[in-house]
Amino acid sequence: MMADMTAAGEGSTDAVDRDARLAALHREHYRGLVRLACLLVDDRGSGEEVVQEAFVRVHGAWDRIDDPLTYMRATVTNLARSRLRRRLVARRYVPPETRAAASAEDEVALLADHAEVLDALRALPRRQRECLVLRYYLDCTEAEIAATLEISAGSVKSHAHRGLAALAKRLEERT
Amino acid sequence: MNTEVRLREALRERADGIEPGPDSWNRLRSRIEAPVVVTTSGPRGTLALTGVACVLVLAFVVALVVVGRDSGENTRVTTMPTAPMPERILAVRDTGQVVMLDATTGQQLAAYDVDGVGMGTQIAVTPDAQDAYVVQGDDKGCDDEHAILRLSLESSDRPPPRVAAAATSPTVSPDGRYLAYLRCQADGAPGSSRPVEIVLHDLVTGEDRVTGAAGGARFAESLWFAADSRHVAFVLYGDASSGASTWHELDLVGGEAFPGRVLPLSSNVFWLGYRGATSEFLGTTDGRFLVADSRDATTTRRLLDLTSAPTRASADVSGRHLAILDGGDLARWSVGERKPTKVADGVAAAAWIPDAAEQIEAPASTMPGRVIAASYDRLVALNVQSGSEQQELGSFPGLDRVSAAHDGSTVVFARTGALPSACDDFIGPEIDRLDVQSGSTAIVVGGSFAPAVSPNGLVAYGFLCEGGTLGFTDADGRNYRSAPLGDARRESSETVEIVEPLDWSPDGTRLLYRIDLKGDAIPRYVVGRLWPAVPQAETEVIEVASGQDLTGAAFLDDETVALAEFVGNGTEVRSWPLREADGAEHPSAVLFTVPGRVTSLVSDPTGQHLLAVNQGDVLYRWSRGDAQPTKVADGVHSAAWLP
Repeated sequence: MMADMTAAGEGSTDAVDRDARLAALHREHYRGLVRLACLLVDDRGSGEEVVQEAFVRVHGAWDRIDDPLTYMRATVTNLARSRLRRRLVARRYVPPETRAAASAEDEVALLADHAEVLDALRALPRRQRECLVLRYYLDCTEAEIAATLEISAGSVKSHAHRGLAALAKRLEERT
Repeated sequence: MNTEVRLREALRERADGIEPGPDSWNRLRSRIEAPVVVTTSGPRGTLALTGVACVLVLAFVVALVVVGRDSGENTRVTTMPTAPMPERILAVRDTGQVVMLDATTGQQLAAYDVDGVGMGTQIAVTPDAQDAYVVQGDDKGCDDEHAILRLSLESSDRPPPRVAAAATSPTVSPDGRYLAYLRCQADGAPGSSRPVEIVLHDLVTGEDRVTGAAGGARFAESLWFAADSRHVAFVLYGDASSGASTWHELDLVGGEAFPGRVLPLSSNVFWLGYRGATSEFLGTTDGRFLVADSRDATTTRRLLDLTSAPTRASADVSGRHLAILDGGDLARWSVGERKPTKVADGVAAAAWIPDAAEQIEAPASTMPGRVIAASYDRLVALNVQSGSEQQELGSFPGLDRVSAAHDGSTVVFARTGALPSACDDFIGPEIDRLDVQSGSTAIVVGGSFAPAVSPNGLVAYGFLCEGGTLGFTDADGRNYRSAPLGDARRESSETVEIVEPLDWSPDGTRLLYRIDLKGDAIPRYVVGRLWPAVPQAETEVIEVASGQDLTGAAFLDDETVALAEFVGNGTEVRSWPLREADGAEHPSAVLFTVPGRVTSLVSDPTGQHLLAVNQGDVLYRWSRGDAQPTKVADGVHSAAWLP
């Protein structure tokens, strides 16, 4: 079905090629992107929705994209930002007693130490958090992080350095 | 254990246990092939998300206006952003006496030694406020008894001289060089005459040039100089078969052949002429004032609603102030006011007297010299030309948006606060106020974000824990809160998730803000006249636009906003007038393009200079007339002009 979809002025061959490449992107990177999104929004359900939306946007912008994976990561990061803001607000309208308890699927039993680290990570400013997640979970280089977040490599260095320092300080205060 | 190692291990453990839901590829294909138009339903029935007005009208009052087309080129002459109301009005009483009135109180300031000035005739005041041209004679026709007189506004001692006989409809060019009027001729019927030609009188050289109405065209008694001091607009009656009158614009100074071009103005509107020295036309219909851009007059914009149809009106040079006549009552109205204010009664004609030699176009303003910028956790003042740091104003964890009042008297910024927020596990943000002189700060409000401070010192912000609510704190520290958008117990209450203030209009009455609706990836940009900035009875909301990827917005003047739209390889910034829709949104001319995705757009008070920050934390500046923006500095994620 997707092969039948064509943008205005686009030949059917281009559409087939786009769909094939998008399918390949999904095959190779979907899981990783979902995990990235979940780390950024701290919520599995929202994380997957973010990635689905990102794929839809990448599909629409395909002709303008040079590096789909980087564009995808950037889109996931942007949408995660928006989703995070909304989630914080949505909680306001759901009385605490009616909120569903986290299911076993959603809550991974973490080592106490790791829970502490993630707690401290959540308290960091957004940019620092994003840089650290991309660096220490996806093992992205500075250049890759810069391209994903559309900031300079210098900014990446600075955010990562400050974020790590702040993290270390918080963890030290807790021990 | 090393922090980096702990972090890596924690992230891996957290993430590696996450698996995507089943059948993700087919779900994705379904979404791409059949885009869902999300609707919401609630106790008031089904609401289409694209009709944001329905949502907003639940909480706010009055009319919704959406963006129409602005297809004119980017050199449109607009109303000046902050022109004060002139202090005096020249009026013709219904006795035919000419007087000068105080525009605020209606008090008579002077009377002139001239009688028999035609009621309802045109008055032309020179831009230096020295002279005025009035028509002596009754309202009917323009025979030899009708004459144009030149009145000295500074002296009322002697009778004013005649400058033209058998003439009517005087108009003075905005640059004060020319007087143009219609000259009449007997038309064969006993005691009847009509305008047959336009006379261009050079007030400097004294020379006249005549342009006759070719082909037996019949003028109505109406003639107006355009803002360029070259063109004039006038009405020609239709012939016996068509019956319809047409407005024309002619390059009179350039000697264009009669009758010039036809202005495509709506025939359902009673058009009065140019809106001051702007390119807009002013008209009335059904008790309402409208304006249309004379260079693209097919769409109109609502200016003001009235309780009854006015007789006539005239705008001052800036176009922001109207003198309105209705059955002998003279009223004044200025942009931003809800309704006119009565000045005097027993008045038959009126025109503003300029306070000073006003310029035709918005004056080219000097760019502010400094910018206050958020650079990571540091608040700094930068030289806008060199980008160099002039002053460090403090270091604040989680420093986010910074906003400054136009005169620099108030600077506010968002930062990570000291206390956890009330609704989640995150440290709550707070908004602080900075005294630029002393460097001291004080908290404005906690649990809030995205501050925007008005020219009057009123700070607007969003609440982290009450996303659908706007908060305000005034210069005296009093806090206000907008009515919640929806009831928390109803399903429809979750429609609006977040409201985020962006910018205030130069007159401090309108707030531009962004709203995120649940289930909709596209935020909406809205302009609201909200309490406490205006009285509650005057609240009004206008949806500005809903482009695919709008990322920033700011006011250019009280009636125009700039919008930033990410288009894939950069962000285009356009101006969008707030006007009545023709049923669809049309993009306006691009002002400039910024590399990357713009996250913030800020204008100076004149609308002539803009700041743009992109996602790469690069700060750019742009001034009207620049082909492209100029980079100011790196490492900035929010900025505001500082005089």
